[in-house]
Amino acid sequence: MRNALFTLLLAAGLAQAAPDAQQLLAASDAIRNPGQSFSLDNTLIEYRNGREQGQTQLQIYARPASDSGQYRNLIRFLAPLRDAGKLMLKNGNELWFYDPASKASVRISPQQRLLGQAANGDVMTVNLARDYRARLDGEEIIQDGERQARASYRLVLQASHDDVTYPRITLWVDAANSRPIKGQFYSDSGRLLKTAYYRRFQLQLGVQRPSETVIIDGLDPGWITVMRTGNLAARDIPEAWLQRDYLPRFRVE
Amino acid sequence: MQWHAYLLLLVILPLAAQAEGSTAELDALALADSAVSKPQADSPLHGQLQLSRWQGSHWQGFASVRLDSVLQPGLRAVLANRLDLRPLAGGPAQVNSLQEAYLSWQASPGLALDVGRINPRSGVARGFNPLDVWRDSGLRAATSADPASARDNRLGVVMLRAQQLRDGGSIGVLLAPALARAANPAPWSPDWGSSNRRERWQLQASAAGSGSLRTQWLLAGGAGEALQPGVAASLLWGDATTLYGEASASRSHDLAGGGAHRWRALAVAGASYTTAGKLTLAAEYHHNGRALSQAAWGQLSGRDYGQYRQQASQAALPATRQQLFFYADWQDFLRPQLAATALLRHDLADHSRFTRLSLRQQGERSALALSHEWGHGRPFGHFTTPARWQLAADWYF
Repeated sequence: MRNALFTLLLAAGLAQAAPDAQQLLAASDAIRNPGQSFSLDNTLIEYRNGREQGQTQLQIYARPASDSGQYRNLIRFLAPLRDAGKLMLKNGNELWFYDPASKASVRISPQQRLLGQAANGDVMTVNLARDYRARLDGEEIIQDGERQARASYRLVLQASHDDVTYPRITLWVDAANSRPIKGQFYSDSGRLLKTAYYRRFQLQLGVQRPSETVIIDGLDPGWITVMRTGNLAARDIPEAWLQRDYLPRFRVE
Repeated sequence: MQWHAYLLLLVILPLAAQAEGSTAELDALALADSAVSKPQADSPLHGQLQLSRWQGSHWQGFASVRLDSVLQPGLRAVLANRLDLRPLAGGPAQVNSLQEAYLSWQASPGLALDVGRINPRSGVARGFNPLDVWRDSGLRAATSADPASARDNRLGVVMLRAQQLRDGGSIGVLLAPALARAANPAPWSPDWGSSNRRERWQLQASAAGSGSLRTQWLLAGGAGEALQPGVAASLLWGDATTLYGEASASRSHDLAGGGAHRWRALAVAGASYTTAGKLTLAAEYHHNGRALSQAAWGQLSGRDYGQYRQQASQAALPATRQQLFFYADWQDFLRPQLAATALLRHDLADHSRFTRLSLRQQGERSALALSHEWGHGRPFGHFTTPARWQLAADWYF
């Protein structure tokens, strides 16, 4: 009976004035990302049909660009060991991959970047409100990452320019606190590329933020990636780090 | 909202929530509940051990290590070394290559100074880099016909390097002294003669152009060497294609030391395309203006051929004027962690070809690769590799 009453009150709340979709998206972004330069550790555990395939461990350094406000990322590989020390630089659609064994900085396309696990970092370190126009598509109670029913707003995000990985995203945000609950990421042709559940919220840099994202491949639902983030810290990321010519010099102190 | 509408919501919404979480998604969440992270310590020392065998040959291997250590804030020490072992193949049983050994001082976030043996890389192409003026610094153990292998495993050059970084680009100067007159083939020699036979210098700059255009500029020279300007550019075209090119030129004779003393260009034009199915394809056109003309190349044979090939090899330049280079890399080919690669080099002067196909199964810290390569063309052609298989096992630490 208490649950029924709760649902009733929730529905009544949802029935009130519709919130601004773009503001909801910005609030959700602020929960996923601090609005400043930061670093974090990222562990990706990959499964195929229930079997663990391997783990990728990354350190991510992010700095908001002064013009677009979008994050520029420097990603360093710690594991698997065959990739240890490799770096990826992402500055919008400008992408460079550096291998310390060959000393080569190779320019890669956004499509090529999607081949690697580092691309999954996008579901975390992206300021969606900067690149997408949000539309409130409905109010819905869905199961969240903890399998709890949660009142949410369903937002449909349409890319406002071409320099994005996913042209369209459907995002569910918590009606009570704007926390991201679930995202579905689509290709140009409308194909579902991945589904992400944001969960295990923990206090990080003063805000309850998701510490785990469960990513399900759109074509192969048996391909699952569990992405865990930790050691989120505000950090000065010098402008000079975020360019190709710095990659051979990068070393964390 | 009327009371009966609330009542409707009471019934419908929980049902909708049940339907929303599909079975696959619920399974994924359950799997994630049991996931265990295995953190990897951040070590300054990494390396690779490889044991391999070519068809009709003996087992061989190598051990490579790379140390990148922070001595104190702003000061790094870098050491890269490779030891090739061929205990049964005849000739030296081992050949050591001290590839890099230098100190790097980050004087400020934008200014860095390096001193020691450094292997600098310039250019954007995969098969051949006209901007790579240090390409002839010495490869002590040639183990593969893949040009990337020769580039990665060569000796660095002892030099002083200064670099000023700014937003979107950098400027730099590299100064290399002469340390020895001749190469030293002794197995454990640092071989300063291969890397620092003459004084050389390089000025370089990079900049962001309009849109996705990125450029690198270079001017190089040295004792007894003509000035060599060069430029490289890369561009993103659409979501899946990168276009790139690089060129340099200098006044010189041809590789055989003959021909007119005139401006001769090295150039590459290429493109790389990645499909949604994890297949990356690259194609490049290579031009070497210092190579013999097609007619002169066609007449080479016997001792002259061998001597000219050696001169081209020492200069680390293609032996002929024009080649095509194709490369394909297919990740998760047939099964997860299995990579299939193909490399094809086609000579436009004599229509000889080199092909290499590989399958590589990768693990957390190991890999097993099976390769087959073969050449096709006339005797005394550019690519004369006999058909052979190779099995290689790698272990990473």
